[in-house]
Amino acid sequence: MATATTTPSAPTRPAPPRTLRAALIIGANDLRRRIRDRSLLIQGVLAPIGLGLIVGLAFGGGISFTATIGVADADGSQVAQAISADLIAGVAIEGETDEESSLVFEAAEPDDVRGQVEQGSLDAALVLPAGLGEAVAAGAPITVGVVGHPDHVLASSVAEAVADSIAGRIGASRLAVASAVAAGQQAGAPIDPTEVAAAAGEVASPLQVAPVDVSSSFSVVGYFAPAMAMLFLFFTLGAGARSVVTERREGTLQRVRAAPITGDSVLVGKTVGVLVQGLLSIFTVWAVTALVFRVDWGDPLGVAAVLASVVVSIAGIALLITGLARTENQADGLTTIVALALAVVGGSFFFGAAGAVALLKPFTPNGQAMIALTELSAGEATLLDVLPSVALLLVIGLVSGALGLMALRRKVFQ
Amino acid sequence: MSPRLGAIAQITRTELRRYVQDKVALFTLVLMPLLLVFLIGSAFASGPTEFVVGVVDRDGTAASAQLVAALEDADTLQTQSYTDERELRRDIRLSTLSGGVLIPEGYTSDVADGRTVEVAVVTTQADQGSPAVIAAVSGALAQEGAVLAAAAFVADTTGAPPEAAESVARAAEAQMPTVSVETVGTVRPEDESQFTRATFSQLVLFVFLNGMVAAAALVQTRQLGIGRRAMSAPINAGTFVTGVAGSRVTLGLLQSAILLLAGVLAFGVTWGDPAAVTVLVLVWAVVAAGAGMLLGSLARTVDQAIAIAVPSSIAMAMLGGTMWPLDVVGPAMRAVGHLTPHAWAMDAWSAIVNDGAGVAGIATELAVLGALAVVLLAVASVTLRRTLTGQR
Repeated sequence: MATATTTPSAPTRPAPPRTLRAALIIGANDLRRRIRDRSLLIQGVLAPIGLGLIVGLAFGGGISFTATIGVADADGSQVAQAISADLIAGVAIEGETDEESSLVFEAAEPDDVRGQVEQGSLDAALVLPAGLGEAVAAGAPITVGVVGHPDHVLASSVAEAVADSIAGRIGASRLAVASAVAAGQQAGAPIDPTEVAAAAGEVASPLQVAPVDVSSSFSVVGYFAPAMAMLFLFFTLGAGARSVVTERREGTLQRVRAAPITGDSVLVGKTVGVLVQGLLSIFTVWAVTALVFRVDWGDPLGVAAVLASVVVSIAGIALLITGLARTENQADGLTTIVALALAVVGGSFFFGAAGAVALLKPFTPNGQAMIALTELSAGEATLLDVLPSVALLLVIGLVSGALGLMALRRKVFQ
Repeated sequence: MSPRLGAIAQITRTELRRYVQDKVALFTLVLMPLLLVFLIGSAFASGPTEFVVGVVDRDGTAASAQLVAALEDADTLQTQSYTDERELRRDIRLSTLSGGVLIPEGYTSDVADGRTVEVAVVTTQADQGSPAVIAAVSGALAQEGAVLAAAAFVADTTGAPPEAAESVARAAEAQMPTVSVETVGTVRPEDESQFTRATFSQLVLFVFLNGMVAAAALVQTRQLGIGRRAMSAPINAGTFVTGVAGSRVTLGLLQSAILLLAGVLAFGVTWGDPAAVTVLVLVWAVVAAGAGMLLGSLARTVDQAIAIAVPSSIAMAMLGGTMWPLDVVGPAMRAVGHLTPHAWAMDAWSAIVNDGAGVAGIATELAVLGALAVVLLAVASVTLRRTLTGQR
């Protein structure tokens, strides 16, 4: 593998070719061991793609669900009857149409509706209250009721949204009646509310909501596969970095050092091994998702730059953790903590978590990389646009890596 | 105490001490799940209360400003003005904005001429909050639309000029009592902690994850020859394996207790029936211990054990509904999810917390988990006995 393709680069040092060659052999050996025990394959390739697929299967077509929502008419007035008839006949409700979802409305008994939701024969229900018809004509307060169940959170929130749109419709009719009455009074020509109520029931808002999706090319697999790959890079690269400490404990390191090989070339070799493992893992994830699952990652040069720089970044952090940890177990534990915390904050598990967590996303290496990758896959960025992210990731990696290597050198070779 | 029991207890203690001495491991056990409960709980708590929505007003008139004001007035919306639609779209993609509203040029004249105006609501399908954003914007638009419709109605019925009709409608709207929507049913009351689900999800996730990761320590035990050395003492493999299992179950129980307690003290969660909670926690700790021991007996190296433990635990956690409720996925995924023990545990927790179920109410889930626990422990004991004593 790593043979004499290297050329002497710094002739002033003692025997540089051999140092570099030794480093490469050490790196190649590490890589071979990780490939042989399949941990690189499992953690670096299969796991990210598999988890990306799970999320993709779960949410690939947007949030899909089927729900039966009961409509209980406790009023029986013309207005209430018209509303429940429209719902049951399937007149589209604004903003709630989704090809993957099927939403069924059925008439329900007002007295029994709560029991039916509790038993689960209805997922949620709407209650049109008694006195609704009169309140429309009289301009009185109206409350549309929703019955939901904590096991069907989504059906409950859909029922609430439907209730809101019904409330809007009732409100519009009521407002039209009241406005006409007020205008009549001002003009000195009184209008009887019951006379205009029927016509007011037909008023329609001139404003129509047209939902637009900014990410028609968004692929759930394309988001979560790299996100998961970055999470597992911490473990893969952490294990690689930790192997220095393990080898010292097992005594193989001392044996290597018995040969004319410097501590530095061992560390360089380990670092090279770690970097190659990371690159292999994440570029394979890219290739498989692009070729097999047809995920469009965007400008290849930009993607390659972001992926390579995030590997450097995570490798640097892995080296720093290993350098700081006192035992191997501590290194494992710290890696888990850092990896999971960064995954949560960097948006690897959830997309679009609002609040403080979303604001912290750019401050994590994986979050920074995900932002760049999202822009690339949306076709809104090229290599040039992601260069600042790439530079930032490289700086994080180089600084933490240098600190980590210094700590490791002190720990392992002194 | 019989000598066999004494030996088991001693092995359990030793294994526990090996774990607890490591401060970082303790941190993972105690603080990590708490941190995640906090992060996830607060991420989803702040979600539905207020969405920041960017608005591009291409019309730029008094009427369109009126519409922006209506959006701003909505309880769940906060608006932010944008001039560049590209910028708006970018911020939505990167989830710094929950959505956007585009008011088209000619809005005022179209409304005046009685034409229907399409107002674009921009969201991303990648964001699970999008339906709620669309609903909130639709609500605000419906309110403004009602005023405009009432103005048109007044103009039609009384022949009043449009401006006068609109001011009558606005004045009427200001005095109008609200049409409210009230949750009258069994939905969890609003004062109940939003951390409830986050806490038991993390319990299910982390007790299992830690149980699986403990496989690494078991591989090390094997590699260091601790098992073989123990065999040289007058104890048999069964005793040793039981001792190891005891330590793993204890760790699981400890972690569960910490999370349950933190749920009560820090997040104000009320857990349901104590007996049901206790049995479920115990069975889950055994499932996790059994799975970890099985992996520990099969994995060849520490690296391999961790490489399998972490991704498979996260995969099962996802499939089993600890990262999102299973009722948002399709029926096929829900069925697949129930191939993992996690889904059964989550169903049981949901029944206890939401429906006030007791032990009888979660009997099916307990039976499934209990059977799995027995099978896992039995298989793990056989394979461990073989590998620990060095017979391959």
